[in-house]
Amino acid sequence: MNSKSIKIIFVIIALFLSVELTLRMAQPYLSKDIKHYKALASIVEKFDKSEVDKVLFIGNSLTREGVDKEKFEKNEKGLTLIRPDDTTVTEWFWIFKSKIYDKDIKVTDLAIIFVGDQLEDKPLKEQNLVSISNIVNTSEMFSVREFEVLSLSDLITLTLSHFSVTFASRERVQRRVLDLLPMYREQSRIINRSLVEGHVQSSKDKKKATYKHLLELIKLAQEKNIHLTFISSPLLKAYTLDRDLLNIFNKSESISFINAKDEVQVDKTDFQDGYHLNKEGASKFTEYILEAKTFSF
Amino acid sequence: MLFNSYTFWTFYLLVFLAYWALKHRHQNTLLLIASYVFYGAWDWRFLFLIFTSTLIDFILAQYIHGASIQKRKKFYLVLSIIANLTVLGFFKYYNFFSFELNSLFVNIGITSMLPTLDVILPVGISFYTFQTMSYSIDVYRDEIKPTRNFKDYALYVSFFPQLVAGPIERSSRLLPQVLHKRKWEKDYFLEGLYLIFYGLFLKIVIADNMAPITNYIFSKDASQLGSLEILLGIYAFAFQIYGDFAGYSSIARGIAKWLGFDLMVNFRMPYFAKDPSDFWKRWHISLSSWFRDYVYIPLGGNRDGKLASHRNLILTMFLSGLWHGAAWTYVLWGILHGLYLSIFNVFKIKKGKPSAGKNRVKSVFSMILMFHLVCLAWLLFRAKDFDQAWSFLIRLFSLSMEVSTFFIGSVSLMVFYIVPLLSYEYWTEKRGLMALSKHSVVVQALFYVYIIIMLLFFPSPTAHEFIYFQF
Repeated sequence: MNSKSIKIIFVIIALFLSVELTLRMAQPYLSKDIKHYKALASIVEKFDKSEVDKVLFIGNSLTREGVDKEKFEKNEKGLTLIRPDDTTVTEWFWIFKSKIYDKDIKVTDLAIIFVGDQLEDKPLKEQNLVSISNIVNTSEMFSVREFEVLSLSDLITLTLSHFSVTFASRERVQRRVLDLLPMYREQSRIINRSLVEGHVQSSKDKKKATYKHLLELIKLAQEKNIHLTFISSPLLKAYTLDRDLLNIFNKSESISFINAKDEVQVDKTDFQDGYHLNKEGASKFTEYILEAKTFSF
Repeated sequence: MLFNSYTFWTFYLLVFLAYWALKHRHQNTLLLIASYVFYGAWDWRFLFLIFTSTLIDFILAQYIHGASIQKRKKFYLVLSIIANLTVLGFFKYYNFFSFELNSLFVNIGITSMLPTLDVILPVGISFYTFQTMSYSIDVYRDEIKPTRNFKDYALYVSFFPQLVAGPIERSSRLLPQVLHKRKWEKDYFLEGLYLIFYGLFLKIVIADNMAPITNYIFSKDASQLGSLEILLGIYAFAFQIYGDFAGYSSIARGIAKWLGFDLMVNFRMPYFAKDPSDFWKRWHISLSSWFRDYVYIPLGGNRDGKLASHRNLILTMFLSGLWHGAAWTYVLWGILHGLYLSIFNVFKIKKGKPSAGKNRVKSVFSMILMFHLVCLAWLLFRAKDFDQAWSFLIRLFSLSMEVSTFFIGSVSLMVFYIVPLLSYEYWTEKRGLMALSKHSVVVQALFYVYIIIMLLFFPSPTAHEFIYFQF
């Protein structure tokens, strides 16, 4: 190798290190989610120390937008929300295992708000791996490898995301930059919508759903005597739930199921975008949850 | 095992480390094993096919060389070509022809008995079949001597960097590199690094980011689109297929370079071509030169008069279209390019040298015109069938100029990704393909900074397979 090659390698390494350093400093400003992931330990610790009756919610933006905190407080109940965006049962399982079960946090009631097939196992995508890498500690990486079915590529993605902020923040940086382009956001929504429509059409020959993450979460929760409440959130577009999933809910007394998707009367005035509830919708939804009286308080 | 996957780079790292620790003969054994592992990773059943194909041509080439009479030589050559084309024809074209014949029989009232078979198309079969055929033909023409070592020949056929999507190497070029001891030259590192990074950029940043735009447009009915959207879809596909294929070739050359091999240049800024002939000297050079040397010239080339020359051009390009896939759209794509070449030959009138200013204007105009002719042909290539291509064409020229949100968003994305690419390629066009490696550390570093930032932060949300694997 000649000196020119060495200099160029040096520049590439220096570049990578400076990007890494910059992103480490800018990370909390890059995304609210990252901030939320970083705060998970303190959220759970605060929850553990609190003396009032309280429910811990784990979910995604449906939980963030759907649960009306004021309604809970009016009923003199406390609640804590863990709700990173774009997550499903895979991430919820790792949040529960890593931050609650392994840390022996005292939880009486754990509630999970979901829609459609969010409790089913899905093939891991890069986004899931990045989320898991944000949730678990380095010492827990081995148990991720043991529990999840990981290809070599998945394993490398998980490891790189765990140790490199640059790698883990790729999608967020991309979004921030491309958002500066005229109509980029609208264009990607159009493409995403057409992909979802295509996916729905091709999902007729869908394989039987599996629930490895959900069953393990239930098993760990039962070990710690935690009462689980699963809540199906209403959407503008109706959806059905898998029979096997309903059987899982019915199997144990320590599990309650609130079928809010069919019972809460909502229309399009209750939604921000057809998916997330607005203030009025959240109020109706929370009221219904509280009336269902499935929590132990 | 895709070049844009971690699995491949882990595999390559292991091969690379072991390779340079071994002596020449063992290096070849290692590369052969690695190539079979690489190919078997797609489907282990493909290995029987490539092995059989290799064995047949290895034996027949010995016979061709050993035969004392010309007639016998020809007999063995024909045998080799028939064997190769039978394998290719069965796996790639059987269902196409059986479907078309069945339709024909039904139309004339005959019940057809030709079954449709559920055969998988082995990855890269068109590439290695052409490579083995060129070996037999070159031995027949006494351009090379056949190798007596089966292992070396098998490595020539299956060398993993170029096995599944080319460049289609000639035996006269690649075989000596297999046979002779390879050295690590001091420039190899930077050259390989450049080719790999640039190839990954073309694939991951350019091709994969153009794919969602192309797929969206081509998933719609022509009536749902405006002229501008159709034009945009074709432009996006032009850069998708270029990024995809040129990217693969560049990575192939880079990883081969790091193993001490020099593979041929397969793409040379094709969208700066000024005429159809120029385009084919820049696009998929290894295939176009293959067809020139083994089809067009043997057919008579331009030696038998103008009419025969046009026939030979169109026939060669027809076969080139068929090589790309078993569908009428590919065939028509080939014929259209044949027509471009023929028409260009008719109008190629030599004029006096124009002034420098006029020359520049003419060059730019020729480039833009040629790019659009190529794009018109890409419409056929990308369309799912002739009906779609035709309806898109009609809609394109209906001049319905509505500017949709999708159009503006896509144009801004294309400007973001394509303008830097074209600017760099224009710079390369003026200074030569590997001009960058001759520049100062600062200029090179700037190039790598841009490429790495784009690779790190702007890959497509969904990775796509390389398009040319299907051929």
